[in-house]
Amino acid sequence: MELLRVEGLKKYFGEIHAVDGIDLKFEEGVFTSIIGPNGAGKTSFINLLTGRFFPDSGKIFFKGEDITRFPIHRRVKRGIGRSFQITNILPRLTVFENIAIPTLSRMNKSLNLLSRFKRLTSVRKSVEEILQTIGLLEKSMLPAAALSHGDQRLLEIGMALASNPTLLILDEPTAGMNPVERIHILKNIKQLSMEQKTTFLIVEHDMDVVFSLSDRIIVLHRGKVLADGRPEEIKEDPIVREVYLGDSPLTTTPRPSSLTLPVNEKQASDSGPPTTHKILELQSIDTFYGLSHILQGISLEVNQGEVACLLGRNGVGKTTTLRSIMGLTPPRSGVIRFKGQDISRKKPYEIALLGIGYVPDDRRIFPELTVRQNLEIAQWVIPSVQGGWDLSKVYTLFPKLKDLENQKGRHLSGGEQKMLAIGRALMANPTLLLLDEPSEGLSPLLVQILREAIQNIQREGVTILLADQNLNFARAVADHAFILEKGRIQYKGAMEELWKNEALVKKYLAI
Amino acid sequence: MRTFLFQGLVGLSEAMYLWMVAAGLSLIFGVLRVLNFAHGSLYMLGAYLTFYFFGLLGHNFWLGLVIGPVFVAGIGLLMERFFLRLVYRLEVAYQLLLTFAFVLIFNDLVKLIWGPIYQAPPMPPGLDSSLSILGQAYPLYNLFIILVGPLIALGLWFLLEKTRWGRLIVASASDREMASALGVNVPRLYTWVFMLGAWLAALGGALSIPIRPVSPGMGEIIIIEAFIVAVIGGLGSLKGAFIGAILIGLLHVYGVFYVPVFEMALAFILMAVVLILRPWGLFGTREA
Repeated sequence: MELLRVEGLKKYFGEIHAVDGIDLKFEEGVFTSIIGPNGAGKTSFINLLTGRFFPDSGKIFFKGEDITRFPIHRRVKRGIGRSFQITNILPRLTVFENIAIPTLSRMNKSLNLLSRFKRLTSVRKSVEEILQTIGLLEKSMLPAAALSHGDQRLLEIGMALASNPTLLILDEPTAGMNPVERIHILKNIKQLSMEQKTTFLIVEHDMDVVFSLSDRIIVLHRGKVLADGRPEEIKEDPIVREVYLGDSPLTTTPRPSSLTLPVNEKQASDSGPPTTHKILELQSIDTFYGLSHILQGISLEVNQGEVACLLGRNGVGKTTTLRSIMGLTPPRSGVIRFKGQDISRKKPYEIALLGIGYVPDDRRIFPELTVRQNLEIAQWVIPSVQGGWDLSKVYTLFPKLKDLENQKGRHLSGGEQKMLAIGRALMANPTLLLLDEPSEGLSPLLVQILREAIQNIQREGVTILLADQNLNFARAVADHAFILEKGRIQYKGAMEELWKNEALVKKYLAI
Repeated sequence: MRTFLFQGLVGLSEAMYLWMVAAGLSLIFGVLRVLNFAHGSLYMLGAYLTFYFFGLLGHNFWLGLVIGPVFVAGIGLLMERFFLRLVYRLEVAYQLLLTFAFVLIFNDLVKLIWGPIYQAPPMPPGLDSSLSILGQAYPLYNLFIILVGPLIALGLWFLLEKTRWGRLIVASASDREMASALGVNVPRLYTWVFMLGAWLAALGGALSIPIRPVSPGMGEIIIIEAFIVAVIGGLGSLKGAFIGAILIGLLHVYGVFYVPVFEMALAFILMAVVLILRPWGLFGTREA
């Protein structure tokens, strides 16, 4: 039975043709994934479906009813649920309460005080079932603000599930999630939803997730449908391979050893023996968020010119480690040395001036500034370096940004914002770059480009410390790895050794 | 009809004082996220200090107009640097309490120094005549004010949209943490913004002295109206403050003229209607 139909849908933002004439039908009970290069219009398309904004032309029918001009809440009432690319939880309430609110509202008892005793058990059961499905049952009493980025996204999916929608739209549900957990959790969600007869529509970049769960895949490109079919058909489609999937799968290529890299001669003579020179050193760092003791005595070193990677599951302290170095959540005790100088009591802007660049996992683009202004901002306050990073170098690295130069930051897609955030940090000419989840939310093709970009950045003499959930990506770019678990370092060593040590990977990175 | 238009002109000049106070209030809220209840007191200080320097410097109005507001901007620097900076992280109630304390202190200081009585207003030479507009005498000085208001609006727009400094302010207003991680000294930027806001309020006060009585209570009257203006226009939106000030200014004169009994309530009714229909104000941004 037809659940949703769109006809001639169009949405333009100034010169950007985000959605440029889409006609599609969606059948009930079919799990559909929308994929496509960054900036293809995926998020804009689902924003039109959920009512975040209205199309310039075209119509949307849900269960035969024209909902084109319905506001969000009326669509939710009709049975369209969604999660967001940017989290939307109630931070002060507990995980349990966050799920309980939509559950109560679905059971229509939120204002009925008399049914209090009866509802308690049924609501509790329903909430716990959802928490179990999304794997957050153990954290149900924590305030939502204390969860890691990935867990907050899970919570949000739970909130969407709790309203028991007929059609559930998820925008990059696995972003920030541990790759090993991803498929497992989504399978749980799919199963629960099949019982509830929910139809799924997801936007996703993780091809393992897409190909293992979908009944149907739609590929968008420049606001139009490029391909539409069963997973097997899409996988073999030559055009899709060219614009989206790319050719060499990431999983098969380890990082070329840094010894064989062509070394910039000037760099080599300047920095002395690269293997012994510590650029960053953390000595038993303890960092708190309010009362939660997040980092518990973290010690690590990063050598000049190398790429080091923090690995670990959701919520183990990877982001907090990077934020502590940057001075955004200063450590309560311990020492952080950058080029030999203690920076643990310095303010973020002083740390930035010393030469540390920061790319946050949630991008944090300035929405009112143009792409160009976002890039230039660091050079307005930090003196530029002869032969260092400038606009043209960043545009060479990410040509897409050049085309978007005069667009406001808020008009960019998630993946474009990611590129902009990396470019913005580079413009300050950092000697150490902190990258939080660089590969999250990028298409497979862009992940390849990013991998090459990181190698290029490293070749320019920049040291990189990154946190990533994606072990394959980490292997492709990093020399050294640190594994975090519960705020402590559990392993440090060469990336390749970790890769070969299956027991270690299973213990700290798998479920 | 002629009376209607003439009253409109009167309302416009009233609106410009309101705009200068509301602009600073909105700017400070938009960037620092602080509701500065003492903003009316800065308006009052601007009037008194300009009047004081006017007397001190051989009755030169223009010199007083330059020095008075700059002096108040200096007071703003001390307020931000040593007091407001301590309450950014706290709840709005603490900010209101602190800024209200400044209202009381400034009021008493003014009474202590200049006494509780009205001061005789000076009129700058060259602007002390009237023009005949629509058959009635209209003070040239009011026309001058109607010109100054939009000039300030233009200047602020240029500053925020076209200069690097302005772009840094806009960036820091939307994401303070990220701006600092890119090397922006945000606390220093905040001090400058607060000084700019204080200067704007003081300039409004200074420009008011030729036609409005200079008295200790003048700050309270204007801060209430400026709050209404900022709320109607959308807190943090300068465009909103400009349009809102004109709305309230016109409403004020037409209210006095046509429904004098009811005039006091009109501004509040307009605010209530806006808050019901568009809680984020006419030009404000909806909180996510």
